Amino acid sequence: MPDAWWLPRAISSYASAHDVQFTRTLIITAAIFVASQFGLALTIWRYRARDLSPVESKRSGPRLELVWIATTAAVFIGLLGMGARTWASVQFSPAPSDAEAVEVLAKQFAWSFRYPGKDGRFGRTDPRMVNEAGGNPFGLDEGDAAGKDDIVSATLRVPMGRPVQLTLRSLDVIHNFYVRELRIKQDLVPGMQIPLHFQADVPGTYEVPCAELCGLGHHQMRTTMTVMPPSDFDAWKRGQSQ
Amino acid sequence: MRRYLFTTDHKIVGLQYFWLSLIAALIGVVLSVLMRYHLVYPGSSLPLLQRIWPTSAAGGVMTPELYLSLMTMHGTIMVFFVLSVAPQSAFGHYLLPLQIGANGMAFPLLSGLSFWLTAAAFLVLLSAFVIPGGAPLSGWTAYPPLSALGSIAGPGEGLGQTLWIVSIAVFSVASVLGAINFIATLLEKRRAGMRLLAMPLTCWNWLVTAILSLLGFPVLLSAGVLLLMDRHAGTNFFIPGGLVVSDQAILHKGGSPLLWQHLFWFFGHPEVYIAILPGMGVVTEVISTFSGRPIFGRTMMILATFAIGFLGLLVWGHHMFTSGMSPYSSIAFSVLTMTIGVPSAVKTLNWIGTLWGGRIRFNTAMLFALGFVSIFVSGGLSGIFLGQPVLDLYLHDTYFVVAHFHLIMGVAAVFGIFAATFYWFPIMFGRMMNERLGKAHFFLTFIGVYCLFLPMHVAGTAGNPRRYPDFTNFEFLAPLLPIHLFMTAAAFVTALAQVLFLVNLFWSMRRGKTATGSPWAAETLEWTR
Amino acid sequence: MDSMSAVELEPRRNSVLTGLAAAGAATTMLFAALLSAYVVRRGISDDWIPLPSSAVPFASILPSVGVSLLLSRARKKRPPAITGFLLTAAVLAGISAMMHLWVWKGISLLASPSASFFFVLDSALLVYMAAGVFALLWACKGRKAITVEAVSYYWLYVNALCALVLAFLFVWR
Repeated sequence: MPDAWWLPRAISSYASAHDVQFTRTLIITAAIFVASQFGLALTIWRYRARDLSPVESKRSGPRLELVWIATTAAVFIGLLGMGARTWASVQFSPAPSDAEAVEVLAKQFAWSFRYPGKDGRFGRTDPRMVNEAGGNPFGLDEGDAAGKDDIVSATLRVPMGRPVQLTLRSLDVIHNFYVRELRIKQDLVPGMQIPLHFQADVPGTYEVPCAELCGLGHHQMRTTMTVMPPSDFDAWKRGQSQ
Repeated sequence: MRRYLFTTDHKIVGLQYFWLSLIAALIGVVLSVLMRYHLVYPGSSLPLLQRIWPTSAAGGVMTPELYLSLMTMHGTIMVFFVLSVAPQSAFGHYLLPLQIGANGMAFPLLSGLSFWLTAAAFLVLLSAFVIPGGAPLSGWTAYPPLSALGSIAGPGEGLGQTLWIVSIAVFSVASVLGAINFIATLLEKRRAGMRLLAMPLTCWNWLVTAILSLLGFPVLLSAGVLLLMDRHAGTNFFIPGGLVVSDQAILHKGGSPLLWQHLFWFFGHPEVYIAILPGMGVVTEVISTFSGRPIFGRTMMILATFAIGFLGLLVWGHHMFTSGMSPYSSIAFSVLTMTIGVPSAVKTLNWIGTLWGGRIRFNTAMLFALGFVSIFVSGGLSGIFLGQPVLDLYLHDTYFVVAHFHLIMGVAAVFGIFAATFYWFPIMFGRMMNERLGKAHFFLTFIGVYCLFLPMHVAGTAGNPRRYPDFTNFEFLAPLLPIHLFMTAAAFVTALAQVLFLVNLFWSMRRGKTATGSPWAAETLEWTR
Repeated sequence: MDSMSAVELEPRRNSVLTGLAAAGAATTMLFAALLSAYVVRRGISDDWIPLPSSAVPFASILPSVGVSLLLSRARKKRPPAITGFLLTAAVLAGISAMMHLWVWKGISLLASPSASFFFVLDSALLVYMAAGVFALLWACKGRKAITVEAVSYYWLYVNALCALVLAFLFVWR
């Protein structure tokens, strides 16, 4: 089976933890699959009607059922519990304070990214000032000095080995930012600003599809995330904020 | 003619629903075959398409918006007009009174009314295909703002989306009326001496399904009304402020897209149990009949049915793990979701327990019942992945989800319909269906659906997003095309195999062997009437 | 294969009451959904202007309570006398609906999300009240004890529902 027919390479420790839980779940479900399909086939074969074969009238006892209930509950809930800490690390712990801040804006049918620039602050935006053709997809307010050095980009660049804090916004309908190699995705909901943090540890360029139906261009809404060595990333940022 | 138009006879109403769902299923399958074809041959030209859709299939090439509207209609038609009609309304209306020894439904007027409202809803939905702008493209889930902004959000989002909402609203009313009828009949019209616990399992499943319909469809109706108002009355239930669509500022503000999702899925999750529970009831009775053994753990089966129904009302948030909903809610929903696997496992154990020690006869009805068990397990197992938020963050909106719900709804629930058709054909049409054709249909379909949906999990694991009209824009999708080609081929073969069923159905109605008495030696009441 | 094709003329009391209870459950879910949406929408927005406080909505409950009182009296009477009670009740129900519509005049749909909810919720209430008037007239025609009993439970429910919805709209605001 080609590599491309499975989980892509994990590029963060979170992704690796995800894969551990994925594999655990796969092993358990595969075992149940084999056991139950085989059990069903065996039962059908063994008890297929043959002349004069007797019918056993065993009655079910509550004990078998209760053991079964307890076992299945333990397996399902236990499995959930094993993956809980990994998930909680993304959902409940805030990003470290030195995380690289990036704002993500989705619209039909393109992605835009914004960095705060040298002053470390994002400038004010106003939907009425959105002008895609004029190079202002975010609708940066000219009047706000903090926005003058904001770096706007059509692709996402992040430093390797440093935490990144995304703030996800949408201009029109619900979209979804999905990086397979990070094993995370998040809806971008109009009217909401949703945080998402991660730390990518493997350099490279990774395709980012939209993963929430957003209209006729949903399948064309492509961008990339480039993970760069920190020095290259800093150099790029310096070069951008002129 | 008048007899069929104004009938309140539960048997005729049952048949009316049956034919309606059959027509819907044929349309739904054709749509899915068109979709699967386009996915693997996106630029190719099918002249037939141009005849039907001159603008959105100019030159016979399916545009992305046409693909998405076919997908939307496929999902809507299958979920509502096939799976929420055949298992409950068709077989239920026909068989329920017979199984409990009643002389009809509690409210015969409601039987006729609920059918005609359903038929009207179907016509309204289909009309979306032929109006300017075409059918909506927002999926059967119709998330706002995409579904709330009108045609500025996309083709089909004008009148097409409005017709869709009206259709669903009318369907909701029809379903509630039907549910009231079923509940009153089951609780009050059993023949003297039949205690509740003595009711056949099929009836218990119809009862829980009716309760879920009763509680779920009003919520869908309310969501639909609010969405219509956002679209046409300028209200702001679901549309937030600050939107810019196609360079136009939208004047709505203050609403919440998540509010729609909560309302929709509060209905939407019980809906999938509405689709599967009646089939489970049929499978239980069929397995028992053709093993020659009473149902293993009968009381547990009834309790498991209620557990599934009850828990089914509490898990809707597992459709929303990536929605921006509070993570605390996700925890609660995921625990409940994993729990709902337990009563399903109980049912599976009891089906195998019924077979064990029995004397199994393999006719077509039994084959589909056994196939149901196999497919239900397969489809349910992928649910164990999706119910865990950490894994769902990767798998949400990929083909893994599509594989999961198609195995359970698109296959298992449909197997339940096939089993019910073969099993009760003697009662409904006085004849037997042909066994040779039936077995051929079963084996081709059983193999076909596994070929179609098992590889789909692989595509999903690779991160293949769903609801994409084609896969030409991403490098990581190119190596997955051979899988899609295989699935399309399997889809073609499986769809073709259904012709065997149609031939069998129509031929047997006229020329099938006459059925007498209780051809299956079953013990429930419908065979004695 | 000879099955009943005529509409049953004498539905058993239990079926009717069970059906009514089921319909009540469905209606409760409808309003529960709308009221939850109301609570959520009020909580998330900064554009909320409460509905103008007014006594008229609550005054509209009085005639419909009158409907319930008349129905409870009607249940104790014999057929010829019932008609008077039922027709009076229908008139009172109509008056109650009119009072609702009077409140409509004073509220503009797009003034605030609260107004939007008012129109949705009150339209739904009016649909149920209209059905209730129809039921009262139907009961006049048939004059069966079970019908009057069912209609009296129906109006009790509608009154409770009106009170609850109006409390959400005009008290909790």
